[in-house]
Amino acid sequence: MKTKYIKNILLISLVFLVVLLLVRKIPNTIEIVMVTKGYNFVQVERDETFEISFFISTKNSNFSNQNNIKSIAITDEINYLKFKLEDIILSEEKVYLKNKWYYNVLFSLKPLIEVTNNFTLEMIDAYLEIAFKNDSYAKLSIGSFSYYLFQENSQNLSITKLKGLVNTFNNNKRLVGVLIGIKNNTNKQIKITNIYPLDLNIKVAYKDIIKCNDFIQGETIKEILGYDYNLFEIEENVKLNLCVDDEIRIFIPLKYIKDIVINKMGFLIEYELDKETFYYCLDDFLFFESNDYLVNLKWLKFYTYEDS
Amino acid sequence: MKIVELIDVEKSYQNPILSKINYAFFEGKTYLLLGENGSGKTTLLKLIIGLLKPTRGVIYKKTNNIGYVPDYLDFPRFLRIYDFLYNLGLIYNCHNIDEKIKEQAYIFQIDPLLKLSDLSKGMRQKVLLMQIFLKDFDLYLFDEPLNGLDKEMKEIFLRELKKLKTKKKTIIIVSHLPDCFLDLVDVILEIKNGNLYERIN
Repeated sequence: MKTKYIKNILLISLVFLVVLLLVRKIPNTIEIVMVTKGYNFVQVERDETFEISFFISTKNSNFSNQNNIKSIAITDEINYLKFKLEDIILSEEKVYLKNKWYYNVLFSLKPLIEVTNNFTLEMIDAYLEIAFKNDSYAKLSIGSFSYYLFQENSQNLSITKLKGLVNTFNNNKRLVGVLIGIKNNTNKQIKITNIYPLDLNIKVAYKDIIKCNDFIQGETIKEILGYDYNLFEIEENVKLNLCVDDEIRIFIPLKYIKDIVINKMGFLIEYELDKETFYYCLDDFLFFESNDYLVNLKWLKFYTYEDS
Repeated sequence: MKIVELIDVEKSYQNPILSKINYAFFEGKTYLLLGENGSGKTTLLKLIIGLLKPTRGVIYKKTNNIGYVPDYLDFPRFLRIYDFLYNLGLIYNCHNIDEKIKEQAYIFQIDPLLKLSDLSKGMRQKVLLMQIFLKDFDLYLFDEPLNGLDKEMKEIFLRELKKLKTKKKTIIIVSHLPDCFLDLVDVILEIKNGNLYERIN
């Protein structure tokens, strides 16, 4: 009698335990792949959105459900730029990385900042911070991030031509130079003192700038310049002093601070007119489409996240 | 009251840097963190801010309102000091930004209209320090704040630090010049072989 009673108790406990295990919500482990590259966002109109994409191992997760996300920011050691999440686009396309399939997720974001003038933020080592409504958060490395809002653009000059030269380097497509036509809209001489690529990983090789009317896509930078060109050898302390009376067309060779893929970028032209410094912002431009980063694991960062 | 608590916190890169650290930082206290180069001092600060994730263990924070002076920062390339600080003031949601920048420029004796790309090492350090005084943070982290400062500037910075201490702010300082801070700190911490040791000042 006593043994039967104990058996029953044990059986009930066992059933209870099994039910408890089944009912308990087991957190899913999600793997996230971030592409660390040069992200830059030039906003000339406030309506423009910034898009950042990454890869997740599970289709249905907090990362792909807008209702589960509380806030989004891009941050580094001292900066913290909040964004409004406009949309999440989950792609049906899958990619195979490190023996696993991943889905592509794209966040469409708008900066949440009240600014009346121009605004610049540059982060060399930036993180995408996603805070979820369940109080958990993910902080994911994205590479560099720069944000330029130019609401007041100078009218003293205008751009008459923009064309990127894309060459292959280490089997990857690279933007190696840009042809720019600059027109002086004033009746005084304009002196260009700096051309800043609006990406933190790129510099302009001032001493290699040449006057150039056009080039044929497919030409190499060596053919255009007439000598060997090192994409990574950064020159220091070279001043630019380029006078524009009417219109010029120049070929601007680019240098890479880091071995990274940049396919979209704007430029900021710093110039002097009547000894006063002005800036002209050239909106970001997609020079070529690229998925090259997917074949190079060194640009990818793998994270795991407990999705509860 | 605890403001940050580290429970069994470990951090490894290729090699272990911090091993099973259990420690609580308390509100209103000033801490000086010492240790040899590469001992994990900056790593510990970055774990507290959340820029790094512990390999194991958890970090509880009472606040996310944390100000940080890194030991190095790449400044935006074409901005003036004023614009840089103004933009930071905007993202920090500060009030009276213009007034605060002018006040900091006066304290640290620097022309805010100078271009960031033209600054010397000492001037860059001044700008790094100025940004942390723009906002009222709960927790202040300083990584080698005296880098590049001359004697007069060091004294000015220490005076500003004393003001924070009077306001009962929590301060954690990493420095190779501990003697400068001995009058200020409540607790001296040392990281040695991945462990954190405490001694009362």
